[in-house]
Amino acid sequence: MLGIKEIAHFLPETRKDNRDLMETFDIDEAFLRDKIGVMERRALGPDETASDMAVAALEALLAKSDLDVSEIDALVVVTQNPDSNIPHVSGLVHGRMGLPARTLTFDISLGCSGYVIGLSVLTSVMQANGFANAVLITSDPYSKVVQPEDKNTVLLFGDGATATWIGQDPVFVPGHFSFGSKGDLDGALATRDGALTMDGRAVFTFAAGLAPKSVRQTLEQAGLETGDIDSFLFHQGSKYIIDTLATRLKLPREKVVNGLEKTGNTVSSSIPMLIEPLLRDGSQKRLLLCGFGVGLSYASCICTRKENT
Amino acid sequence: MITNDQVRDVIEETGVVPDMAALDDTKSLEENGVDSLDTYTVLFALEEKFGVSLEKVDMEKVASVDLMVAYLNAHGATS
Repeated sequence: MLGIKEIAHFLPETRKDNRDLMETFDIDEAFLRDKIGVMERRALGPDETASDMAVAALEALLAKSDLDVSEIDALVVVTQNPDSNIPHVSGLVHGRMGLPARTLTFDISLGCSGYVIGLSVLTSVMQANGFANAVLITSDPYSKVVQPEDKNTVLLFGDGATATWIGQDPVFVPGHFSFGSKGDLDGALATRDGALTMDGRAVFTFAAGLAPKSVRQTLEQAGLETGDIDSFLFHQGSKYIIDTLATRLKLPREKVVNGLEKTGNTVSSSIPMLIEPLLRDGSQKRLLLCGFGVGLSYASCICTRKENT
Repeated sequence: MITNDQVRDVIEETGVVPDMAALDDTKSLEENGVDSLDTYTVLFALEEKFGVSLEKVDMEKVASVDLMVAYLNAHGATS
């Protein structure tokens, strides 16, 4: 049975305090705290790249687990801000970390839905090929594309990376996936000439409308109800969208995890960062993951503690 | 015909306006102290309630309760 065995994360050292931007954008601390939900973000240095964060996250994973690089059959990186278009970031990580020649490497070009979809893709590849161990990395440095004068995005996005060990005898087993895409909203969250633009209203309407449907579909597929889930881990788009989803799904607030305040929206890294502290919390039997964003696209699944499968 | 009271009911249900009695139908939600995020919530709630897509409408065309009612009625909204 394949699933999540361990997760580690990396955050760059440089901190950006959103309170320093309140005057520039004519907002107050209550708006930052209650609506945006981000007080502080992290940012890579100008010479640092997606592969630097990916390597740091993998090193953190190796340090906190008994996984050895020689055991890694597949390495996948979810990113849309690679070091360069060619080669793929997972190839760069493979070289820098001295992974075996037999290791499969590829990148997945997805944003905030990328971790959930990556779980499905990688576990499927592992099952199809008899792989025992794989690592799913999320590393998407939006600081490379966010424009400092863009209020819509600069207050939200932070840099960060995660590495997830997927293998036998896991803590959490992912399943009951549901997916969806809205390709006609391609312009709602996009880069143009290297600059990120976001139509906040379109992204909000998309997320508020379709994420709850995705959650309900996943629950229905699993034959579960919201009361059977211990924690709902939504992509940390903003506090406002998390609160909106909780309200629309009528979820108890204590079951809706919020991890934005000190990191910001770390794109595909937001969900694994929420799972990481729950791995060793035995009270957490079932987690519902829901990612939504670039594409626009969305994906949900349920992670069940192995003893409860 | 959609009425101002019906639109006000939808706004009240969203909970974004603390004092509905003070909401001026002739002024924009922004002028009534509603921020942009809460305005998105109102527009989304109106879409769901009246079955009219407001996704691509300029915000200024649906800025106030009066304008929302006019737009909804002009675009075949049903209560």
